[in-house]
Amino acid sequence: MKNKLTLLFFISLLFCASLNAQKGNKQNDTIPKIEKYGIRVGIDIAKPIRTLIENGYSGFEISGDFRVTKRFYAAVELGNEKKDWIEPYVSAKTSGSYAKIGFDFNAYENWLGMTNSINLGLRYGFSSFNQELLSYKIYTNNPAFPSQVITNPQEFGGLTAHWAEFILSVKTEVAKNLYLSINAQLKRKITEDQPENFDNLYIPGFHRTYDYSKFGVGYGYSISYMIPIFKKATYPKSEEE
Amino acid sequence: MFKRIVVLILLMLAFKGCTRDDLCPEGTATTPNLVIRFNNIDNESQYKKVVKLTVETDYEDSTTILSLIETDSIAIPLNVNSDTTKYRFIRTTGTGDDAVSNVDKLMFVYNRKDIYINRACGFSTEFESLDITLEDEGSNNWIKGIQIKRDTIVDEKQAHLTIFH
Repeated sequence: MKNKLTLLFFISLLFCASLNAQKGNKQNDTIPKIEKYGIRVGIDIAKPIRTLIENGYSGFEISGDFRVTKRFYAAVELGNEKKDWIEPYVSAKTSGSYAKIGFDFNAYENWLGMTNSINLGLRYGFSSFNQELLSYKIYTNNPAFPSQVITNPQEFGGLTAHWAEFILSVKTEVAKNLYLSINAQLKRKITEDQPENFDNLYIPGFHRTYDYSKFGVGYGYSISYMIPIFKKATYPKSEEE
Repeated sequence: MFKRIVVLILLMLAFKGCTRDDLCPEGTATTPNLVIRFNNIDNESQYKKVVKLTVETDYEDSTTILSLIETDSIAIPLNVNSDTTKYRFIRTTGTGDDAVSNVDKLMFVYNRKDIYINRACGFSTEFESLDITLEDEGSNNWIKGIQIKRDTIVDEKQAHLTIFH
């Protein structure tokens, strides 16, 4: 909860900055806008930090995007996660890798020479993972036979899950070609392999699942570097699309 | 516009994070109880109430499940940690100083199967191949006969066994 608030704070900061930046636009109509095109590669820094501070979690994610048109970017994220999931009546361990592939649409009109973005993106997510049921309890509210913890580890291998994801990210160029970005994700499961007589409590890339809902959420905080390949000049006057 | 969308989504995420589905909701089908009917030994299809029935577990520190009730059907739990459950069925007749208790000991033997419910409720147990032994006390038993109706206990919709007395 605490880090969500922190993220909110940073996002709002970025918005204030971008709103101010918009003022005074559309003047020098003779100076061409230079747009950089290239491949941007990055890593999610939230996951390694969580790996260090959170018990029972480890993960990393690398991301890449390629600017296809002025506003559209092809985007991909690859990652790996391990997570212990402990509930009062069940505890399980999940580990596996995931890939997310899709595109971002930059909805933000940049000021001259800037390459910040507010991206609305869609992804198709795929995960391949293993899950181990570590221990469980029989639910009972009867005092005559209180349930004991049954430790009988069962491993479920070769599970897969597919989901669709809406991702909203804000990217700021903090130094030449170096970007900091923050994102929030809303996911919806399409299909998943159900382990026999159990459920997927956590899916790498999708994160935790819910008993009565197919939705999931996530966030990321990443640092990325843009490798410029070519530049394109556009003139503000002929820019209306 | 976009700012609004962002704020909306972040608010949604914040509330989503607080959604609790880690409490087992009431009314969820968990481990079923054993349902017993009491019928008349002289007319096997007729229900017959037991006058003041007490049911308690037959272990060193016994737990009382039912105490001095008048009923022709009961639902009692089976032990989910063991393949046997031992009960004392006590019929009390008379009142005050004249009260006479007749204790009959029953042992339930079964196979267990643990079934996943969900993350909040964990697992439930289903019981199969139910068998019952009544400790024989000759004519002192108030339970005259037992008939197993359903030897698989997965729900409580119908009686699993009938006890004749």
